[in-house]
Amino acid sequence: MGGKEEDRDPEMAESSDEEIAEASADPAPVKSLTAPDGGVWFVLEKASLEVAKVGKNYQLLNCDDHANFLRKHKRDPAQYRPDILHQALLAILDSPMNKAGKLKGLYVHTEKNVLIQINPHIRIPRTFKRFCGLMVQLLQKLVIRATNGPDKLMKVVKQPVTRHLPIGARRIGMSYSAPKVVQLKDYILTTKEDTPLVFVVGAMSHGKIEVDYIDDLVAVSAYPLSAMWAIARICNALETQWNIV
Amino acid sequence: MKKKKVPVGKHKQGGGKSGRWKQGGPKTQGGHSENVFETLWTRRKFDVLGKKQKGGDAKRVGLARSAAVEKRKKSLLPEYKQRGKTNAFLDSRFGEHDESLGDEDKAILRFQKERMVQMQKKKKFALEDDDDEQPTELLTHGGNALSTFDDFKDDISIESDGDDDGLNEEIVRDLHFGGGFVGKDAGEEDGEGKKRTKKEIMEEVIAKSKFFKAQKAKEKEEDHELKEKLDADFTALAQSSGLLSLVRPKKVDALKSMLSKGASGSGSALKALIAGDQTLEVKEKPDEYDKLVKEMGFEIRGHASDRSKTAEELAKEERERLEDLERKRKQRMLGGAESESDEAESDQDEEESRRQQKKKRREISGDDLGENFVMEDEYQENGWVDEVLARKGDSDEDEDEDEDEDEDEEDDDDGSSARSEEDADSEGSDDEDESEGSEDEDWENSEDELAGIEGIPKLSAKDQNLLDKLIAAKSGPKPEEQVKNLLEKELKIPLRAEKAKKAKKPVSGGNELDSALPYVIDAPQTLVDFRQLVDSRSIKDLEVAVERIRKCNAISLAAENRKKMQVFYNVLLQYFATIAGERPLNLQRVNALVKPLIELSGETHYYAAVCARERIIRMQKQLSEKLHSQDDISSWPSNRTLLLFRLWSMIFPPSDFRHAVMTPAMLLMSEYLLRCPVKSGHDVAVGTFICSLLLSVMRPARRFCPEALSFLQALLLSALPKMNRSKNLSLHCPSHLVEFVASKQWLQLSSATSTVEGVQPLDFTSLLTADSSSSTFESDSFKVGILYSVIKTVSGFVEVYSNIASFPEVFSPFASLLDALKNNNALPEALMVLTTEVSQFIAEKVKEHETTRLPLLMRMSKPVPIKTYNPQFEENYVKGRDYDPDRERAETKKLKKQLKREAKGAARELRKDNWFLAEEKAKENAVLQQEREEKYNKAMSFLQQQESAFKSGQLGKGSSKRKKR
Repeated sequence: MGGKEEDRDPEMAESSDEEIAEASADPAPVKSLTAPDGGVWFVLEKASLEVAKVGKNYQLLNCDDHANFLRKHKRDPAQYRPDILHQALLAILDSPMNKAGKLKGLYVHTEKNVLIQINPHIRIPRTFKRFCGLMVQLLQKLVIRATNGPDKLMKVVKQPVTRHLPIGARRIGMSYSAPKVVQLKDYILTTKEDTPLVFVVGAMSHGKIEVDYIDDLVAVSAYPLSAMWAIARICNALETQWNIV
Repeated sequence: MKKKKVPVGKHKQGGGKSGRWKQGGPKTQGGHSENVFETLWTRRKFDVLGKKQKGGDAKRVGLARSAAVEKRKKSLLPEYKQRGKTNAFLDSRFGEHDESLGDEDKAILRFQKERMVQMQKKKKFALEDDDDEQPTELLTHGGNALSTFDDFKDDISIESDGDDDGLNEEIVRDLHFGGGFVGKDAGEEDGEGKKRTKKEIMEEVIAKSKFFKAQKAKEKEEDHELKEKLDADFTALAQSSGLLSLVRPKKVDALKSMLSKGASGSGSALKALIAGDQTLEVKEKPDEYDKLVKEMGFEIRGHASDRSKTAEELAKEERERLEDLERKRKQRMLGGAESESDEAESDQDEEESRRQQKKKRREISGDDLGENFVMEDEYQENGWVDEVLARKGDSDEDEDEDEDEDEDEEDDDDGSSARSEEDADSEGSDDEDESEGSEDEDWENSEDELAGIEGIPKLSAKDQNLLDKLIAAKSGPKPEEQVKNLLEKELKIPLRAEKAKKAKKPVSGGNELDSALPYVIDAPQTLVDFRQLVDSRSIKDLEVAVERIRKCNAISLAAENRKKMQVFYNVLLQYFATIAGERPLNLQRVNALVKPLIELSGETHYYAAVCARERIIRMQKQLSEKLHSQDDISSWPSNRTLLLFRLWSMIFPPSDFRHAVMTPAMLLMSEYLLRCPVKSGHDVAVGTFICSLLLSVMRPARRFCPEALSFLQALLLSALPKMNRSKNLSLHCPSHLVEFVASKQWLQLSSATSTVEGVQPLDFTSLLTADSSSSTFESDSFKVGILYSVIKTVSGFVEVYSNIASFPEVFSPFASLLDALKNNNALPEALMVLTTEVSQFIAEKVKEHETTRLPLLMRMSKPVPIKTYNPQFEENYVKGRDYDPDRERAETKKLKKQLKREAKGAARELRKDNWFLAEEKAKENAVLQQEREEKYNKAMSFLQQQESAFKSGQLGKGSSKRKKR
């Protein structure tokens, strides 16, 4: 894994999110990674991304197409939901907030303990089938490049995710089971303007996120929300705060 | 997931969990447990479901290593041992290299091989024996192969063998002592059954086929004989008169021909028979019926024609046509720069269509009149309006100009037939337009004064009544009053009609019968002629007369009729103007003229437009003269002018962006409103009428008409007492209009207004014809009626302009005026309700507009989103495959990789070989060393022995030993 990061492109040290890529090569956590105008990081926890050899070729396991395969291997098909991740990624990357360049980093931590760094400039395939193809390739090749640029758009990086998160960031976990139900836009106001925000959202079908690095665990709705909706709420709140129309 | 990670070498994960040893420990293979230290466990980075690894999880490294050593011992070691030798002993004995064989087996094998070789040698030259296919090499006994005898599988059972000692004779004979005949018989029999030679088989086949052939030939012969016999029987039968009598005469010859055919085959006796028959044959004439049938066969059948269209197709075509027309109308309505290109396009289209005019029918609607009229000249570079204006300039007199136009038209016309078709079409659609117009302006019906105007096209007395009922229902006075109004109306109309009749009667005298209308009337060329013809007639007769003139002089009948009709059109228009200008206005007579005028202007559209323009120009001149004159005459238009405006608004499409007639007409109407000072109640009525007329004209295209709005505003202002007019009420009205219109309180109700209940519908005709100084204009009922219509018109404008952006600015003055009106005057209930409604509606709309307004913004470029990149990935990614689009490069890359791998492998092998050899050498060296050491030791011990013996002086001992040896 680590060997891959060492062959960095010279062009890549330009924008701030490329710094993450740079930083991931260093073993020490990021020091100088505070965006002057705040910014937001997302971590999608417990994403179910698993590649298996079904028949002759490798496929991303999902509950619809591989139910029998999974049962044969004594797995619960209900756990294999890469579509949640797909929706969540679309929700984040297509938001006006991202278009305005406010998304500084996006990480996906899978159930199989793989950490993937995603460049905010990526355009995620719209169809689920193509998304699966992309993920299969990523998990085998460990890096995905752009067709129309030199950047590495997706990359498997070293654990833990905290080494990639900015210093002094407020790390907020999302959970329906959290005791605090907050109106997000008011909640955000409590932090300082330029404090980087890290939102940790679960991309799984059941259960809750269990991570030790979050500062606060909140619920943004009194109802259980899908990952996509939770993200939409976050994005809306941030967009209103940053006045992005 | 079960983790099978064993911490060999890498200590990160495992951390001394001894349990794993057992868990991932080696499985027993082949009964004996393997040495744990000989196995190496590879840790998998990603455990992929469904992936099978070669050879399981563990790699037995020690095993592989020892196997490799063994292999080298076999291959490399002998080579190494032979390295210094030039000759080698090759042991190619059979089975010598096979360890598993014993000596006995080896011998047998050798023997077999030897025999085989011998046999093959022999066979090369052995002659093939046909009968005996058995290999000669087989061991035989008594002529039979040994293999056919099975030593123990014969009829003798072991039990029986064991049971009775005495072998029966047969067995003894067969099996013992030169026996071996068992199965011989059976074998021979079998041999006969099975081993039929090819030759025998072929023979049999040939024999069979021969047999079948013979049989076939025999059958054929039999058939032939049977047939001949049948023929003979038949001819015999045919000869007898019995059959001939049965057959129809026509068939006889067929029969004969048949017979003759048959005869050619059979004997000559038949021929003689036929010759006899020929005398019977009668030459028959062809049958009548047959002839007819044959003729019909040659006749031409029905021609192919176009399929008749289904109802749906027709409906579809019609719909398309209408859609096209609507599109064109919209385009004309928009006009302006953006339609220029369209016009250019349509210009080209026109060119084309003109070329094909004779074939292709152009489609026209009622609204299309203008376009038709401009069809020939409109799309020239100057623009058709200029063109028309230019024409006007050089022709002043009507007559003169008529001719000019005629010539022009005739020049322009390609064929009058095409024209007439168009005209016919446009007539029809004109009617539609008319009716549409009346529907559109439904709301106008509620005003009495407008009712008269609205009634122009088709108001008969009956219609008038209906209309009045409608008005009454709409304005909603109390039922008693309704009845009263209706009664009044009904009384009025017959009265008027009677009056008119009375007026006419003396002229016409009693000679009605003499002056019955001629059926063929030539188109009258002057107004005088026409008046002579029509003046004394009733309205019905007038209609009939015009109808007959049109029929007799239809353009489609003769080429010169066009000219005639154009003159007649002018005459009719003049007549219209004349009777419209008469003081006791005969509205019905005017109405009767409207329909023919509209239809006629459809036929001579160009001419109609020219006439209208001419009149408009004259009206404008009159207006400016009146305005400049110092006299105190009203400059407001006369009845005639008003009725003409109304007529034109029905003839010409008001929605066109620019129209040769309607545009100047609108301008002129606006000019009237803006420039004429109101001097009496009559002027107020006229102004109100013009406003509503303008509304009806502006409505279809929603054009903005500031003059009408200003005038209405001024009128409303005039309804307020002077002292109550605050500054801001009159602020939005042009000051000169305030002076012109609202200088006097024309519409201010007197204090006694509370007595006036309900809105009296105004009689427009009487108002128009009334003297300006008449007292009716002072009455409150008049004022209320005018106010009602003013407010109605305002509400109409509000509706029409409800979408314009400046609505609040335009209409909020009206709202405040209406509010002021409500506060200041004691209005009748109906008027009050209407006023409130309109002002509320305005307020609502204003609010709506104001809420949707956006503040003025700096023009900013839109924010640029971050750049997005597409990920590069393959549909079915397989790890290790090169997805380079350049196949050649990928191929070379692959080969290079392979080469490198092979080179590495070879190097590794060589290295291992060297280690192995070095080991071997070391072993050899060790052996040599040992030998040398032994030798050395031996020598040394001998020397030491000798030395010690010498030193000890016991030489004798040694010497004695030597002696012993």
